[in-house]
Amino acid sequence: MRIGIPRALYYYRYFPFWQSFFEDLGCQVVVSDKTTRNTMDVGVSLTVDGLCLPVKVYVGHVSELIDKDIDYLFVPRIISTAKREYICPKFMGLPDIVKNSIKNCPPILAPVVDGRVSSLNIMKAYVKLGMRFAPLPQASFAYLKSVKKQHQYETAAREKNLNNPKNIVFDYLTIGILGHEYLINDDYINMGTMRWLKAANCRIVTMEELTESTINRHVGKLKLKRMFWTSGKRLLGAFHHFRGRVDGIISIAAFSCGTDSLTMDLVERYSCRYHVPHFQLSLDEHTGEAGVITRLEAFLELLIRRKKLEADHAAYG
Amino acid sequence: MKLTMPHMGNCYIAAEALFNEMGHEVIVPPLSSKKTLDLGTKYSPETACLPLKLNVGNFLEAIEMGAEIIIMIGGRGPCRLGYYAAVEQEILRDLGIQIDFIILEHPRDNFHKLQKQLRILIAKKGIKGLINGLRLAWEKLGAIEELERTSHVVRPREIHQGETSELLKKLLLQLRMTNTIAEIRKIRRLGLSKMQSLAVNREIQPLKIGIVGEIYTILESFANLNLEERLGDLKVEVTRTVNLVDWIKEHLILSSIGLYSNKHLLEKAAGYLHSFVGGHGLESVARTVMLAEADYHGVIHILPFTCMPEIIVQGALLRVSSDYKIPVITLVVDEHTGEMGFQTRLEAFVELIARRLEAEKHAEKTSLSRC
Ligand code: SF4
Repeated sequence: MRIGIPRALYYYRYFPFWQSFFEDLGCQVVVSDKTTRNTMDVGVSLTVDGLCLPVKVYVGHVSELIDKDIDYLFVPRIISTAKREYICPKFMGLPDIVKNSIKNCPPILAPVVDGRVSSLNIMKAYVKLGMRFAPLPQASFAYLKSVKKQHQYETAAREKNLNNPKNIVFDYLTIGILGHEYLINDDYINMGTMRWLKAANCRIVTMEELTESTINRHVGKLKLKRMFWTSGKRLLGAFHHFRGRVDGIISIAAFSCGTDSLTMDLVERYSCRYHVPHFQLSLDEHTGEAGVITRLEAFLELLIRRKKLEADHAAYG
Repeated sequence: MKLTMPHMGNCYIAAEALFNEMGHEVIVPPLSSKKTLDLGTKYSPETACLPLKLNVGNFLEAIEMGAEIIIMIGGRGPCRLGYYAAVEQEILRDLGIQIDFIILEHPRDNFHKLQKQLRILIAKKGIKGLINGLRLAWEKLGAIEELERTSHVVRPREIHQGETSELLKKLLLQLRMTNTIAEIRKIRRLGLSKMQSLAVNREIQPLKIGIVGEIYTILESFANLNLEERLGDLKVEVTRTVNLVDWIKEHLILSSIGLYSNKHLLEKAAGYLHSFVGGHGLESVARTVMLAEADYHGVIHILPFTCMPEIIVQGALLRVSSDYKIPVITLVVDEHTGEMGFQTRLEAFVELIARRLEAEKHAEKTSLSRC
């Protein structure tokens, strides 16, 4: 069985898990290629205007996958990945969005991932899915093993960054990056922002380096209503972790993203209150790379000036 | 303690009655207007949805009039509305305005907090005030929605344009002024018969269009640029598929005792949408199917720009439209929506439907004459 997984959205978070799961069940995993101009154009042309760029790109990936001779398309219906929290509603409707925008869509595997009440429900959903390809014991085993794999992967990614000698030596600017993983890790969508920052010798810290408990600790201290979007919670937690530790923060958001419209606004407000230099990048299909780079350059310039000023103060003050 | 709350259609009439009965002074913000929107847009996040911007505008105008406490509803996701209040608090705080919020959360989410807030609210008149207030508000809401519904039927048939709207406005004012249940019932009864006896053209067979979409934009006539009146003037009978009385019954009363189920909606929407997606997304799809099955001539889908649930289902509606052969138009509103363009789109839509009907009738006739 060939299972197609689009290289977009939560691919950037859960791929290790999905891959291990399907391979353990004896399936072959087929991933679409990296996002290109074509992926984006196709996605944009197939979907309704108001959707956010990441979902449009997702549909673009699906349409490319179809040509790869797959038996099933894997589009989970993710409602919640943590207790009493939601993720963006677009993930709840993702299988339907795909079906409604793509003609002759292959059969979709859409487990309902709903951990609002308990993570046991997530397990049930995956095991049920697994039983289409293998008997119950093997499916459960595949699930447990994949959870472990995912965990290992996350830990390794965190440690790799923290122990990277280049990261420990203080070079010139440390920048915290806020935003959905599928924006930060997709070079085409983010207009090469991350590549550019690395080339400019900035040290970059992302939300992926923070543990769940670090985030929860910071969010717990906020005098704010409980944030019910997991992504929003991570954003706010990371912001408070970064401030004081970095020279500046860059947030990357999708222009018509519903959750970001509020959470990024809060980030902006906090940046003002805590005097953290903050730069927000809003991406849609009309964003031009040249404009982005110019604005990034200006922001770095500002950070450098600020840092110099601080150093001078320390020296003479 | 002067309370205020944001506008949503004519609900302020019921809300005012409720809080008055509980012994509080209520400051009703001026009806949403261009000024409200400008104020709100200026201080709200750019890509936040229209209701939030209007909320902020309402608050600022009410504060100017002396409001001391804001009553706002909460929520637990996934729609943004659930987080409005938190962001609105921060916005006012950054403007240097100190004002208390009472945020009414869903009873199943934070029962203790709700209890505490209720205790503050009922401090003056006790439980009795609360119960009386609720009864009064419920009665008013029922009357308002029935009058509005009737106006949708009468308006396209009226002979003197504008008469229905005028009468409705008058009746709403009367409703706002009364505070006994008997009076409300009387106004409702008399009002209905008055409306039904307006001079109408009985020959007219108006087109029937259903409205689906996001609840705030459906109910708040400023946000939807007076959609219902415009359609009525174009000789269209509109049906709102979303109203507050049902919403309260389903989402507050039934769901807080765990009895609400959306199975019937999922069944109707099967093939197009298979999950709840927040807000009224699922309803929009299910109701569009129902409208098509009930032989409506067209459906208008209205939503604020960037509204997540409704955007998710927009693609589904396109497919319902082609499968059931029912014209569906999606209207996205925000602070940039211009009246002219809006009216043109509505007229074009109505004309398209009329032409289609004409063609169908014609086809029928020719096929009949052939036999
Ligand atoms: S969180 Fe934002 S960017 Fe991500 S899918 Fe939802 S609306 Fe789109």
